[in-house]
Amino acid sequence: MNNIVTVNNLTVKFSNRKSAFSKKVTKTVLDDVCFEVREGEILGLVGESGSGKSTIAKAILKLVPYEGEIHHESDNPQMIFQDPYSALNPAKKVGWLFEEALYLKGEKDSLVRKAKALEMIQMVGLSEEYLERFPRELSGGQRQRVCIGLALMQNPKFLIADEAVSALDVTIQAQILELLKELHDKMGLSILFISHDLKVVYNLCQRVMILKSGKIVESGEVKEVYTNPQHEYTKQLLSSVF
Amino acid sequence: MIKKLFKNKNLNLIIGTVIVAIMVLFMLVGIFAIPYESTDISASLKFAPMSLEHPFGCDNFGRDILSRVMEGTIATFKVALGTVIIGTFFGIIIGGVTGYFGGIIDEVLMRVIDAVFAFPSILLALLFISILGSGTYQVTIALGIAFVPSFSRIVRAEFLKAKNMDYVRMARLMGASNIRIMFVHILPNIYPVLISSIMIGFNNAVLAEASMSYLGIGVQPPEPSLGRMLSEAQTYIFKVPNYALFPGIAVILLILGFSLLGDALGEK
Repeated sequence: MNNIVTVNNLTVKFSNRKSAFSKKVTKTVLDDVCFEVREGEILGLVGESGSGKSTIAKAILKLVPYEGEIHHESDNPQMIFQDPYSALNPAKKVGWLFEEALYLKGEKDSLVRKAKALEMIQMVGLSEEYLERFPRELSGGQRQRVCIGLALMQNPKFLIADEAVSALDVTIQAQILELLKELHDKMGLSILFISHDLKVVYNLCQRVMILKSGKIVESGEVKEVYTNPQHEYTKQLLSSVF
Repeated sequence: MIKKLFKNKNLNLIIGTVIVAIMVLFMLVGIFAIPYESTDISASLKFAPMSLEHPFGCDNFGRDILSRVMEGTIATFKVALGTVIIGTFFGIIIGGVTGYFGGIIDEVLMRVIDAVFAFPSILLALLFISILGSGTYQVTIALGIAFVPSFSRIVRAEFLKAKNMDYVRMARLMGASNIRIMFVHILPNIYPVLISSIMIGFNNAVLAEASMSYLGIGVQPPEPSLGRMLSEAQTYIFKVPNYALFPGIAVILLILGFSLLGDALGEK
């Protein structure tokens, strides 16, 4: 199986001055992280708050400066954000947002764009009329569906879902996860699924990585890690849930 | 959208629209069907009282006050409109660039803006007029420049808020250029704030133009402007109160109409 993303020795440091005259304080957020995302898999990334989960996502998308090597097979990785309320432009209709994604990809024919937007809104389980709505007229679950559709609009091979369901209530969570799974099977996506929820990761992912204070302490097949944890931290995490 | 606004029975909106409509009508009559030439002098009509021929009466040179108020309103409106256009245009560009990109551009431009902002806008406009010379266009440009700082600050604050939103990150991931993100993705989100500040700016510009002309550096005589008329009428305020009254009412209505409208549109 090919790797869609390969990360070698990824280190991210943030430096900050407390005031203009004090010394720079450097904080290492990610320390020598190595992993790969295989083609067509859902890789879970689990860790507590502040462990650097989102920083990994940002580094892969080149939103933060980093040291080390990140190799992409896919040219346009996309991301689903945690907060569906700020991930959709409040001034634009859903249909416009979908079409904009295609326009930015170079699709100049507005009829083709409209047809594809219609196809996508149905694929994420909403009806045609939602294309004419503003994001404020949608519920949280509907927004997250739109976000997923928007992320898939440019037909990416690799998707990062950063706490994609954490802001939703449990029943909607299940629906969105189902949708994500379905789209994964249908489009052959590779997904890096970032979460702090071990149960969700167990249901969705094939492999899992456990992150603690910027280091990957354990990784492997989900079943293996969950039934036979090696690292002390993993054991703690699992005992707190199951 | 307009239908929806009126359905809410927003009183500000209704009154504002009516007043603005009246003022626009008033100015249109001034452009196409002005009753008398506003600069025509007649010794026999000096301080003629209000009558059917001269509904607002005549001034110290026997000029028809109604016609002069019409032309004066147009002149004032033009200056205020020009000021707001200049201020908004440069305000959006400067505020957008500094708010969106940040860093050194932001530091440098905002310090310049701070320095400009430190002067009261009328004083600043006076400074520019002393460089540019007096006249309608010069006043428009001078006031426009004086209005840039406040607009760019408002726009900058909004861009700062928006640039860290996830939808901007998403647009960037999809390959949108910075210019496209700034003007297509972020700008529509700040329309409500922008509209109210444009309306407030417009009102300040009307007042500023009136005070500049009052000081004798705006619209040049014999061309009428509301501020000039008020300043000339001052001398005769007890003898001919209608001379001061009507230009004053025109200023008030112009400001009231646009501020009510701005309030209503900014609320949403």
